[in-house]
Amino acid sequence: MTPALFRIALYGSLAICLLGLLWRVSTWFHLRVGPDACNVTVFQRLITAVRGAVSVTFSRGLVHVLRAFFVDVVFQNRLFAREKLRWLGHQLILTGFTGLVLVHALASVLAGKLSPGYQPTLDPYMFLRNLAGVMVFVGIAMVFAGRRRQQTGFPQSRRPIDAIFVALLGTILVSGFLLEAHKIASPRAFYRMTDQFIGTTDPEELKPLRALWASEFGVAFDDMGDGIEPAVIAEGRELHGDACASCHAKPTSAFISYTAAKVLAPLSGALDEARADTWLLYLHLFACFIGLALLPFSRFFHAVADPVSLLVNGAAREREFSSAGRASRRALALDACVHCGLCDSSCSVGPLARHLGNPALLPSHKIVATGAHARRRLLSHGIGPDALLVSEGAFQCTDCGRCTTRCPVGLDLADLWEAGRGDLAIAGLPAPSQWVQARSAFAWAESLDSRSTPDAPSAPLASDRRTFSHCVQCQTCTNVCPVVAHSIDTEHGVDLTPQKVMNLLRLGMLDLTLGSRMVWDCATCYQCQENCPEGVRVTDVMCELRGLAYHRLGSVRNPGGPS
Amino acid sequence: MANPSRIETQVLIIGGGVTGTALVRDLALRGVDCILVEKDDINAGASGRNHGLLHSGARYVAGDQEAAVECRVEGEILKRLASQTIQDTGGFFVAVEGDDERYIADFPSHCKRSGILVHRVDVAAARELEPALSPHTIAVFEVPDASIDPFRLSLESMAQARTLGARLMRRSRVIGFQREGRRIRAVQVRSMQLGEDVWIEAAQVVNAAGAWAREVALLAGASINMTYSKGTLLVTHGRLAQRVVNRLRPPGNADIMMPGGTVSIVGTTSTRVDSLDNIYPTTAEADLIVDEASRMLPALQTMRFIRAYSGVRPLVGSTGVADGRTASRGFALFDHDVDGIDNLATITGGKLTTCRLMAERAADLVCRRLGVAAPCLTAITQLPVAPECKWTEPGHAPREWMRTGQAETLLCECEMVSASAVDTIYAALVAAGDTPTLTDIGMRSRVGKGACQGAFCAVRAVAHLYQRGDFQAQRGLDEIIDFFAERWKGQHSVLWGEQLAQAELMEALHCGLFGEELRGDDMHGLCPPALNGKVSP
Amino acid sequence: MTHTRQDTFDVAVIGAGMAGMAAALFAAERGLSCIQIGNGGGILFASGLLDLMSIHPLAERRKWGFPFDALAALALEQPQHPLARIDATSVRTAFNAFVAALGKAGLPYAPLGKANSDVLTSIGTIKPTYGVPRSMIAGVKALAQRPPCLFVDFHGLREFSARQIVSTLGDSWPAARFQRLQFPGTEAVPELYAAHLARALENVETRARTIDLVKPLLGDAQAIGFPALLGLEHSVEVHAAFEAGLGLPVFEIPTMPTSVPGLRLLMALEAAVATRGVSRRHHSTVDSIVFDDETATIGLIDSPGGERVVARTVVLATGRFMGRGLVADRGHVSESIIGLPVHQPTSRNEWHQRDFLDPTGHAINRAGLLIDDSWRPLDAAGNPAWPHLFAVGSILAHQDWMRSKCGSGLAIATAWAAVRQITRQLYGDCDKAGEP
Repeated sequence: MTPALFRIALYGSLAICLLGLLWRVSTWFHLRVGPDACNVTVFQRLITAVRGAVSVTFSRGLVHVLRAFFVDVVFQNRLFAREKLRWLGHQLILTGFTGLVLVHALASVLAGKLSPGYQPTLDPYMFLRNLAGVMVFVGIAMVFAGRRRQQTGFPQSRRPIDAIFVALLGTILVSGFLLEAHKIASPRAFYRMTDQFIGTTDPEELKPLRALWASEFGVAFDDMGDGIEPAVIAEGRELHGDACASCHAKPTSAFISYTAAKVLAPLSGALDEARADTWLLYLHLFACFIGLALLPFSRFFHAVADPVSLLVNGAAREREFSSAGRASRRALALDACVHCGLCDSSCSVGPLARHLGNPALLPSHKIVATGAHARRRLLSHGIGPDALLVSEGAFQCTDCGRCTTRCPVGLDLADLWEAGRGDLAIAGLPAPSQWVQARSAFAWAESLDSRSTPDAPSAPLASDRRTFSHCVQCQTCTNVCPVVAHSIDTEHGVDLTPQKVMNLLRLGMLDLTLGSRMVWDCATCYQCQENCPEGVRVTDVMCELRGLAYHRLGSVRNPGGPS
Repeated sequence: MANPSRIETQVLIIGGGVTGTALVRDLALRGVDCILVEKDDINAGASGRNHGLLHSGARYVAGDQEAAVECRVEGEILKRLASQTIQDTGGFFVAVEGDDERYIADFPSHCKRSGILVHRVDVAAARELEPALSPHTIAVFEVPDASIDPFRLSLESMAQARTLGARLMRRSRVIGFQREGRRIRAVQVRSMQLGEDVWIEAAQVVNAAGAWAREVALLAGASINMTYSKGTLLVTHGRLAQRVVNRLRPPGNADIMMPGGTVSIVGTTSTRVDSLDNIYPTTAEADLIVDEASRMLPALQTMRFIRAYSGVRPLVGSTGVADGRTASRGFALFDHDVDGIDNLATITGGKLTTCRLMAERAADLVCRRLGVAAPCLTAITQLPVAPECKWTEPGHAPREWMRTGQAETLLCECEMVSASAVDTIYAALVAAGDTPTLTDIGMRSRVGKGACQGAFCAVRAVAHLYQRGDFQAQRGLDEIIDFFAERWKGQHSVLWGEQLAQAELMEALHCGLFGEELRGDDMHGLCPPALNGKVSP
Repeated sequence: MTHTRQDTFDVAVIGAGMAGMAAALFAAERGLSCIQIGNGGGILFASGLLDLMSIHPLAERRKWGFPFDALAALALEQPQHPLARIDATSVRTAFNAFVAALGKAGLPYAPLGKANSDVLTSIGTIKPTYGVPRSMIAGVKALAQRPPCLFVDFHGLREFSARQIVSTLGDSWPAARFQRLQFPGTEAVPELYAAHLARALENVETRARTIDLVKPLLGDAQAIGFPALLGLEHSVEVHAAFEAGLGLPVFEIPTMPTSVPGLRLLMALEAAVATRGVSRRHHSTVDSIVFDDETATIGLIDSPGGERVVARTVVLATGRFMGRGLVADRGHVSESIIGLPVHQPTSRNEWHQRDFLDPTGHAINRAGLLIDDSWRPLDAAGNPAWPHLFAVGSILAHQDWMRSKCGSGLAIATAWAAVRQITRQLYGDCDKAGEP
């Protein structure tokens, strides 16, 4: 490769990367998530961030930031507490990748300066490079395996660019190993070096050295027989000591590449013919450059956003954010999400999502939708079926907060969901409890009478007699219900108590419950269910009714709507 | 009782079941003045203790073609003229493995012979429509069976008769007849509530006392050859099927499951009994029904049952038959000429579905004797809806309460009966000169018919009636106890599983907390330590 | 005291009704490490009154003024009755300890004496009982003396009519009056629930408005009765405020379940066991129990990860049919968790009387577990099913707590006796804490 081409490619991709990073970081200050974000300007947000950073730097808050850096960012404490396997994978990737960048990619800049005797073909560099490569590989495999283990029943939302990025990463690793393996085995490379450092390429003259390199350095000469005398090798070792040893250690420490070289040995002649060293190098480098350029645009940008998010958390500690701060933090959260899916596996409405067949209920899908809405992509063509599904997902959330507690990068997801709901309401998709409660439960039931909604989800609990067969009518559910308690002195109390909802269902009058304020005001606090002396799943039924009602009432309100 | 008052009327009808109330309506529509006396309450006998099945006739096609045709014709009339009392659910006849193949094969042609619409339903399709059907189902036929609310039918018949001038005397027992040659001059009737007697002088007397018809006839000096067959039914906690489900075989035990609005009703048994006393469901009958009916509907094995009830079918004109089922279910109209009485008729036996026809026949006889030429109008006149009679329909109360915006309290949570429903019923009874009891309200509404069997709603209803000033002194507590005594008859045979826990709660509440079993022991004279037991520590 | 999942507890109490709570409480007080499994829903059915024993023998409906005399009679005539197996001193000690713990948890009871008290119920009947919450004690006195008295209730409380109480008492309490009031701010709501009003009264302003509504109605009243809804967690404060505000003795009248006194009991007992370090799994149900020589391993469901609890002794306090400690199919009653043999009538036909209020009671209510003198349930051969398994409360056979009015007594006294036995078995003849 010509240095010019190399430079152009390197600086080009670096520039793209930097511009991309700038752009991504700028979104933290101009993307608006949540109605309150509209009340603050980009400038206010910037000032707040800078002021915050400065005040933290020159205060005791710095201790917390440093602590956050080491505990949360470097050690990844939160992930360690939740998923040991995945934590190990992440640490392997992080360590391996950092190692590769420092001792390999930036070798000429860093290692060369720090250690004057640096040569990529000497140990420990050769070994470390292999080790780091393997770590990244194993780490990726572990993360993938971990992800496969927690299936939510829905495919993860993926963009092509993310798949391309992963493919590039694989390409870089594989081509790197192959390139090194090929160089080990290649006779052509051997002769190029002897030409340069010994001044000859004559096979006979170099016989002792060749004998040594063939037997101990893995070069695959096609004209070296088996019966090499030890004396010849000893002679070769002398030559080697004079001419090669200062730059070349035995490649066996490159345990992956050396193994690959052994495998590739029979092909090394052909590969030499094909100039494999050149195109493998091109492949390797260009994959690196393209990856570099793509990084800010893929979701692996989280590698940048995450630490920032964690440091912000560390700086903020328990303190309240101003609305400007909240706005920026939400935008940052959109980028910092790792899409690991831990939130999905703990989501209270996860089972409901599967039941309704709507992945938009799951946090990992919700955060994508929230981002899309903030970037004005969700409703670009008006309120379509997709938007309605997103709205259902947003409003089925029970605000139980488990996603926030579980998030390995400490995102305040609960706040994000609340903000997202506010945005949807402004965009014409208010909480169903609002439009449902515009009519009485009876009026809804009447309007449902003539309609059937074949695609509406089934209600396995609400329509199963066994759900209610233990009920002894003791009213505990109603007595412990905070929603009913709260409504005793309000203008519009709940219309049905939890007990009445259960009884209407038992009486087979499901339609009368769907539009009831009780169902839609239910705080899903689970008091009724946990206190029921007979184990009736009151809250679970309420959630199920909401899902069903959303579809059935939605189809009346908005023909062609969900379902 | 030195000077009992005397009342005159054209026709005295004894017995307020479906036949008696249909008869009083029929006569009233013909312009005849009537009094109906009932020793208990409307439909207190077999009229209120049956499936509530409006037969298409299909059940009788093999054995009794005449009855089948009668059912078909009468069923169509009621569906047209008393539609508010009927849910046209349709019905399945279902055979399971091991049932008589020949009976199954002949069924459609038998139906057609009686003019009954029948069509075969693919077993898989039928199980799709009624998932509760057994996987061992081998044949399914659809027929136009329906469910009918006998309480509403009788109450509304009586209500219309009243608007036409007829009188009802509830809790009034016939205790004697005053004869004058071949005529009954007056009938002595005792009010069970007040203990007072009246003499009713009627030109014609009709004995429509159902299973008690023989006793009444004997009082009058006539005799009827009659046997009694006790039938027991179980009520489930929820509705198991949308349609009537009949076992496709010759009539036997537990071969019908009815959709009773919000519940299912399964039965019946048939046991020959000699006495009308102590009729209540037994545990053996409950077990028999569950085991037998679950061959058709396996879910019944795990179903929660909330109640059972037993009625006595009056079977006329047969003796020495062990199983009442083979005796005629047809009705009988006796003019008692042979007994030497000219102005007494007895109408008894028969089926709920044919009650209108029975009334028509009896009314024809009475009118002939009275010389009244007016024709029967019940086959062409709509049964008017009476607002106070709607509350027996399961699901009506909650729908009405929801419709009016949930602006008032519910007294019954299980069946969701509002205070105003109770008020309406109470007011209607008072307007008719009655003193309503909690049991009366229970009969005219769904109060006490749900899962709690009155444990909660009886307390609320009584508190409500005290608060309105309707109940005074100890009366409300007496009524709770009477109400439970009545409800309990139907409960103890089905107390297992969840319903046993429900009964335990009821006892914990009414005995454990309220100490109702101690009532009568000087409840309000406190027990001072001095009255302590005699054992010293 | 905290325990990780691997710890072996001294006692695992299965059930969190009155008996389970009492057992956990007493175990903790004796210094045993204890874990309790199950939700306390059953306590919500309680009236707040702690019965000990009033009616014996049932068939005679003989009512006893002194519960300990009744127990003595019971011991002679029905030695198999669980309460006949405990001496009077132990019963008294157990009750005092239980009531003291409730008092500490903010639910004070009137001092326990020798005699039963008569308490007016919400439907106007009179119930004999032993332990009376302090909020109800003025009613006991008023009922005995029958001075001019005002009974107050609220629109929308469906199960409670002051007018019914006054009307039912009739000539026996001529100076009783009634008044129905609109609870402040609830005009728009037709139906109200006592628990919600009780909570509303913890708000000082709502409380003052309510007191102001009652004040003008006092007349010559010397006591005022309310449905039991004067406060929930802070019932002492609310009750005191009513008495201070009205200047008269104020008493609560026990109501139907789910009652406020039941909620208070649940809260107080939960607090009492929590402060004594009892571990709780109140959302879990027992899936399996495996016994070996020294320990029992209890598998829980509904608990994250399907937890396992290891304990050296197990107390079965699962209650009867409502608590689902016993379950019945059409033929038999069985014990739901371990499958212990249940003493019961031979067929379902004998379970219930034909008359609901038959004074002798229903035979099914005397069904239950048979035990040895150490409160250990017996197996089919009549031997203890497992040396470290104990049973307490209403699941025991040969008692009819609803008719004898001995529910709380049965729970508290049997729990106390079983825990004493456990302590002896585990730590010799003294408390683990070293107390005699």
